[in-house]
Amino acid sequence: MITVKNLKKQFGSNVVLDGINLEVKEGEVLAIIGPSGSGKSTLLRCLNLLEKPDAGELIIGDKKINVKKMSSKEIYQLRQQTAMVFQHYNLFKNKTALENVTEALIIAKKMKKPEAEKIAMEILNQVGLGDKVHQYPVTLSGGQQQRVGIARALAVNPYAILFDEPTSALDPEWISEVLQVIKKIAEQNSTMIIVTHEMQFAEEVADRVIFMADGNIIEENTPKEFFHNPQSPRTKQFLRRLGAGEENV
Amino acid sequence: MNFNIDFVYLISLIPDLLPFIPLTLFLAIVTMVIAVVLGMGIALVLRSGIPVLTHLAIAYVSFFRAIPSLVQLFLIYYGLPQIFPALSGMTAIAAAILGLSLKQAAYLAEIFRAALASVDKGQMEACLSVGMTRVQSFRRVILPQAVRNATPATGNIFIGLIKETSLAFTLGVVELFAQGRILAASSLRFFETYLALALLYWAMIIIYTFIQQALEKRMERPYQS
Repeated sequence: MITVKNLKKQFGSNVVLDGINLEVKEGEVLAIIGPSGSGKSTLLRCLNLLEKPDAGELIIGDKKINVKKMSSKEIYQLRQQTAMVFQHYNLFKNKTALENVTEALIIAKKMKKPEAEKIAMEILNQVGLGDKVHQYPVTLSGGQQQRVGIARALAVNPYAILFDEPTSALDPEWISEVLQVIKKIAEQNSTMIIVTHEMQFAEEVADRVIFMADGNIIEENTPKEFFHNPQSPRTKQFLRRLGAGEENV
Repeated sequence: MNFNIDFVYLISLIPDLLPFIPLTLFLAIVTMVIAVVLGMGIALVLRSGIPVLTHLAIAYVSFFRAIPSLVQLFLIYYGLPQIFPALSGMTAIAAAILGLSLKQAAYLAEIFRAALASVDKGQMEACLSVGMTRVQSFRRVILPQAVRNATPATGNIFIGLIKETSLAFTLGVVELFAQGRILAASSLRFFETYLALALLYWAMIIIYTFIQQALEKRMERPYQS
């Protein structure tokens, strides 16, 4: 279980997270949607402490942390509970696809190289890149790079995987292959939190959807209810705008 | 004008000068190694933002970039022993290496700082997000990419340094340039002697440039599509 209690974050005078409370059950897939600047990426980045929250409590699995008095050891331990897939992939540019996946296994988890490579090969095959393992990121398409990013996150076998707009930087032609891979992982009972702008994908893959605006969770529901019977005016307005956008395409 | 240049004489000087190249290279390489280590330390301090240390590092870079190499060498070799008598045993070679490396470290610190800063922040975040520590991330991912960024400018510093070692002659070190002066003074054939010297420095730089190009090509491999 992931529990977030009264999480607060400010950038200067700009309140980005205004006391967020949230629970994610083991094996649950949570989609976070909302307009730009609503705080959804910041919330995700606070979960692995890439952003330091100003106040609140985080519990991920058996690691509990009060963000006001956390030691660097606690930060390190909490981070090991999750892995993140980034909008801009952030593959290690100096390492091959295979090395990108084995790196954390060998360096952080102290695995022997052959063992790490075996795991990495399995996962890279799973994301459909078995034939690209010795290529450097620069030689891979956006979709392939993001699939390596997903493999890298999967490899460390985290308690939960955090997806930060995993398809936002992709050319349209690569989006579906990445979404397919994420969907496949979701079906394997992984705990996942996905910040996304892909509404249809969110509806298909998520067990629950939350809508954020101005640093608050405005609405929270099953995908079916959320998309077809939204309650709050903010949610209705947001979904209507997206709908209008889609019709114009 | 007098175009009476004796090329045969010029070439005959080369064997007399060649034995001094090892000392020149020794000065350059030892200085460079010290400067790289020191420069990296200063770059890390500049990056750390730790209050007092950072200010000291800024002052260091400012001072050692500002004073002429000659002034610095004299300050160390002739000046320091007056204040610290224990240093009066310092050899001229040690003083030259110390002076030049303190100076080059200041330049390198700026190059390394910029090279580290130009590594995408997402690289560190990705390392941390899969459970690596900051030290592990720095060593395995950030540093290798920064080294690639820093190599061309660092190579320039080394080329400059090979030439700056000639300043060691002012402390009485008989390196390549000092030997040239000795030969010129005895033969009075200044043009041929100094031209021979110039050609030898040029040759060293050409060889070094070749080595650096090969190194850069190797380092570029992961980044070529």
